[in-house]
Amino acid sequence: MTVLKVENLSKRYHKRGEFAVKDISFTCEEGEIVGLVGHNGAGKSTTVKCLEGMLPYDGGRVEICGFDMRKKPLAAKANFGFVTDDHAAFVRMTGRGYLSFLGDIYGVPTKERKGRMEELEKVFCLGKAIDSLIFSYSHGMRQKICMMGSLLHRPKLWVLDEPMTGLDPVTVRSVKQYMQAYAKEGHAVLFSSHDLPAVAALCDRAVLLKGGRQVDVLPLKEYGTERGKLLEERYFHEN
Amino acid sequence: MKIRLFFALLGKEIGERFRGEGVWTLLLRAVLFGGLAAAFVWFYLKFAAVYLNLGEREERTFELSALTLALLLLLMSLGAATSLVRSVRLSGDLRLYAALPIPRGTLLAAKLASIALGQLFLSLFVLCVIGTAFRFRWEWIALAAVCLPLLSLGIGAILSYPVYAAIRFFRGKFFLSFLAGTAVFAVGLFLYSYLLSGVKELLLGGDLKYFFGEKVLRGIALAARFAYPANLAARLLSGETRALLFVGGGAIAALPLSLLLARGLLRGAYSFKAPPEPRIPASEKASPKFFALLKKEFISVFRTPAYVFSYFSVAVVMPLMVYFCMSVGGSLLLRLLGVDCTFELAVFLTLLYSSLTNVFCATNVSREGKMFCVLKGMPVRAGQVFAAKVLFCMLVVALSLLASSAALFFAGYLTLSASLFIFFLGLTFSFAQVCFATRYDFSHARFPSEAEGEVGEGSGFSLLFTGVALLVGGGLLALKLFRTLGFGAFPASYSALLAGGVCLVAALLSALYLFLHLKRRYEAFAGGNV
Repeated sequence: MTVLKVENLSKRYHKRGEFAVKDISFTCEEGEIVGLVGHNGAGKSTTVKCLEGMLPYDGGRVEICGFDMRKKPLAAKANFGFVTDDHAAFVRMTGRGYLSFLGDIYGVPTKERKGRMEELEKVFCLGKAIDSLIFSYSHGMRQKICMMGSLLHRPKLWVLDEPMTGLDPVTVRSVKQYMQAYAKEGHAVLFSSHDLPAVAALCDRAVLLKGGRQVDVLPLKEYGTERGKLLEERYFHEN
Repeated sequence: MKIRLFFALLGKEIGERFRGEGVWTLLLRAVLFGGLAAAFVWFYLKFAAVYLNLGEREERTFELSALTLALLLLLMSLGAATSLVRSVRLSGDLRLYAALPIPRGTLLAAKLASIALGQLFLSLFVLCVIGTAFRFRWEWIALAAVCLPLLSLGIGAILSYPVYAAIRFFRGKFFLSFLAGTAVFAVGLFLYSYLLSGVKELLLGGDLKYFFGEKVLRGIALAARFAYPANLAARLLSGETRALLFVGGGAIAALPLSLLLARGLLRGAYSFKAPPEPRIPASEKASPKFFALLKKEFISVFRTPAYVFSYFSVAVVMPLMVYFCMSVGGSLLLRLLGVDCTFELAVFLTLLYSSLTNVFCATNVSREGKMFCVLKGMPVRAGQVFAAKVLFCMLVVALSLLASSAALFFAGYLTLSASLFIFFLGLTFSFAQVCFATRYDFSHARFPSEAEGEVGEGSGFSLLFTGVALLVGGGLLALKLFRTLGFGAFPASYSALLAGGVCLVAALLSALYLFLHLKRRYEAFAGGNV
């Protein structure tokens, strides 16, 4: 089943300005991990923000679990969880309070909420800090609480913008393992990254962006052990 | 000390105070300050003349100038202490300074100089007023104006340690800090009510003799004698050279003392040791979406010290303000003009103070920062997001209005039906203001650059409704006076109809302004410097 379908997505920041992204089209299937790759200004974050509904887009179509983002935004939004590149959170809430708030927004029942929080706590190891104000969190801790929040309702699609930046190696490994396990459970994962080895190791497919245009969709899975080499070659060839 | 670096840092410190302020905001502030300053000058000169007439002019001059200077020094010292803690101990720019080749002495000198400069203007202004009232010589005034900021800097540096300890104590204790802030505010207001009754007596031509019996005068004399170092500064103003020795010496000694103590604060700041974070329990129980949004609004205000004071504390003391002003204003108008304007005055005060309580809603969107955009990615309707914001503001102001209308009823100023009308009138007016300000902020969102940043109520636009309140309430009052004095009668029902009509129309228009095409606007929102 197709979890995410993006067709000819276009966005420009000013009415008569240049397109920040134009004609981006790709899909994300159940059990698949897809990477968005490109250098600074390639349009990764703009694409992700448009998918998340944070930014309005000018053209194209975004469909999540069959729900059109424009026609059925609430149903579409209920089916994905996302982590922004700046790890924004309500800093005056405690970690637990923030998770509880997200639980209310996504309608996670009390019983399930508790169990999921404990499960996520084991992966992201926030420790006692979960009961402190997010205001006092370090960069990495904020990222962890945002990831936990994005997974609390066990979305069909997990979208992450630059997820590895600022995390310690142990947590990076846990996040990677969790991504793989999450996809294996039949969910889809989409993430943007500069980290080519991580994309090569994790992704089934990689969408290569350059100057706001989609230049290629690489079927990494099909290349087995050669996937890293393929991604690197294509990336440096295009950039 | 590197002089060029010092001036660069000083310029940055001063520029920081005005950063992000528009021309209109600055202009509005200047007008407000000018109004307050004019009122102070008028009151002080009039009061000083009355006080001097009590006899023994020399003694009275010393007492009043000493006590005024004591109050000034107290305010300046507290201001210096909080500014020192804010800029030397808690400032976010210290992380950057720590990594730059800036000598600590130069940095401290620039920070202290910027604080002292602000105080110099204040002391110069107050001393000029005192000088005019008591005909002191200008050279002594100038000398005192230089010495007082230095003295307050020294006292402020000593006080900065307990102030910092208090800040640490109140950290994470949101309810306690709210109570403490409100209590301090209420005490200040209580003192202000005394001032108002003094103004009333002055306006009515009374000579304040009942205030200053023999016992009170003896108390004042005693207080002035022990009000160090303000009494020495008062003697300096009257030209006593011996006082110059103490005040000047004190000011000179205060400079190294403040540098030394500020260095201690900076050392603490540069250690970057954060105290342990308090643990705050949070419920994991599920609640409906709308309630979660409402709770989020409450938490983000209640747990931000600057917000809680400017919103909840103002809402708590608003009934007191209405009551005090009513008690002074009602009798004043009756005695001066012989017209009973109780109802119109109640309308005027309710509209004015509820508009001031609601100034905070001008940042309903901006204060959320980037999270406002993140929320767009979540399955919540635009209507729910905005209704939660409006309802939150309305709940606070409704409680405040209920208390003030009840106070007016129980104090006997209004009948039950009139006080109920006043309550609903305030509510309608507040609804108009909240809707209008929220929509305006939505269209002109200014998100703080940092996640934990705070936005001020800076926009002069937020005071628009205060202007409307002044216009409607003041106009109604003027109409009542004009009609009553000219034609003999202007029933309260006319006033009610007029005020009610204006507020109802304003509420309808504002609600339309906020909720019309909201969904489309919300989906298209890309503002706030995301």
